[in-house]
Amino acid sequence: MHRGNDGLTPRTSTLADESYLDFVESFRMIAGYGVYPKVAQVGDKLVEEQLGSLDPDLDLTKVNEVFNSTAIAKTWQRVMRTHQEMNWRKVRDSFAPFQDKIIADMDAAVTKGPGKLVIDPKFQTPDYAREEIHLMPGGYTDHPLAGIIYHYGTKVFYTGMNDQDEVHVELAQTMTPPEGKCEKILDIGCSIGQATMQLKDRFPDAEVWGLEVGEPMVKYAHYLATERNIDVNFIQALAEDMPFEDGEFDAVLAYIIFHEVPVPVISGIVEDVFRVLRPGGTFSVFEFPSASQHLPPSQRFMIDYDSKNNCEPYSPGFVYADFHKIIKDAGFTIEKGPENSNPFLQTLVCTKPA
Amino acid sequence: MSEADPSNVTTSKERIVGDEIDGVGKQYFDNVVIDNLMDAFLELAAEVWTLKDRGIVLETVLTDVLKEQGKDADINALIEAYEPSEEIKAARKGQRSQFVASVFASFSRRPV
Repeated sequence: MHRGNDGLTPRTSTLADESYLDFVESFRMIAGYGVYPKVAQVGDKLVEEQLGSLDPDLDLTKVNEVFNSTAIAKTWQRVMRTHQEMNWRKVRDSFAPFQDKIIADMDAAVTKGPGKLVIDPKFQTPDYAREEIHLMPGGYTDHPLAGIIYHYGTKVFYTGMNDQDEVHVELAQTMTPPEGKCEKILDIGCSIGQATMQLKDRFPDAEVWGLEVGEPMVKYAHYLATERNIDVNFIQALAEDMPFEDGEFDAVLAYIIFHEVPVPVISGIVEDVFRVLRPGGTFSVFEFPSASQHLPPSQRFMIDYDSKNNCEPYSPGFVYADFHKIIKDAGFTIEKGPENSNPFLQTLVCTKPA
Repeated sequence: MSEADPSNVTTSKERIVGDEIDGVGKQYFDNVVIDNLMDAFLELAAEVWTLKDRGIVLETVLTDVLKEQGKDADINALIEAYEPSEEIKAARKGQRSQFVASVFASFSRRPV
């Protein structure tokens, strides 16, 4: 039985699945916001006692050894991994009985408007983009139901704070438009287009595009947009090699894409965004913290854990790269962006000089 | 276009969809039994909530339906007085076996 939607979020195929995932969501609150602060408090104190400082240059192996000597850190690591596995397994298995119908609905929407869906049949997905990021089965590219799996799986990830795309509403409302015209906007690494659609709401007269590497993700994004009658366009493409003209866009948005790609690709993306922006155009970045900021041992431990245990193979490369220098080297000027309700994120407004 | 060449940073390893969540799993404690027990405990807790939630929904739905029919009923008393048939007993036993297998799947996941 198809149980429809709860506002913007699809419902799972059974009440039992919904209840199970509600539990996982509540448990995530405890593990993330209840246990982790204790891990950080205990671990940082021990690091200071045993290694003599909280210096950001401390050897990470030694930092990890100190954290792993505590029962609370081991427990936290176990339950973070377990609840994440529970989430993805249940979400995948809940929508599996409706796979044929979901695919048929997405296929039927391909040629529908009001917006366009652009998929190049010759597109080659690079291996780096095929990791099972966050343990999501098949990642963004290799499971035909990646879109709806991502949609519900990230509902759980956001622990109720994004059930109606509230996070993406905030991104769209706080991204910084350029001076002058803002008629064409691009959302890179748009996933299932949640921010893309909110950008259209804020800039109703603009032409809005969402770009994403995973075909099942953009197909689902386009399906959602057609269901909601929102005039946005989606394209499957690489953000480091975009099929757009020089200076075509007035503004570009990037939400947590850079820690999901290898460092050479980070540079490629920033350079290509610079290329497709018009002089004076703005690039709004919402992203993980990076080496430009001083990280305490507990955050370094957590990022390292996340990389190895939550399939974030590229996040340490990003975190320890000089992200701000990469942006400046591409030609942008950088200013601190608006505050975000997620204090973990850094927000940047990068402007292409006029 | 950028000069970044994704082929420089790729691996060509074979990928199995769902390997992260269905594979051999991770171990965090020196004794893997603790990992297994914690997995089982979380699975069990999820199942407990799922059942509790269903009970809440079931009683609410039943009460509402009966009210619509102009009947007020003590659902709790009806549940306590219920006597299942042999067929229902067998069906419940099958579901119970599935439940136990699900909760304790971790016990055989890491055969170290």
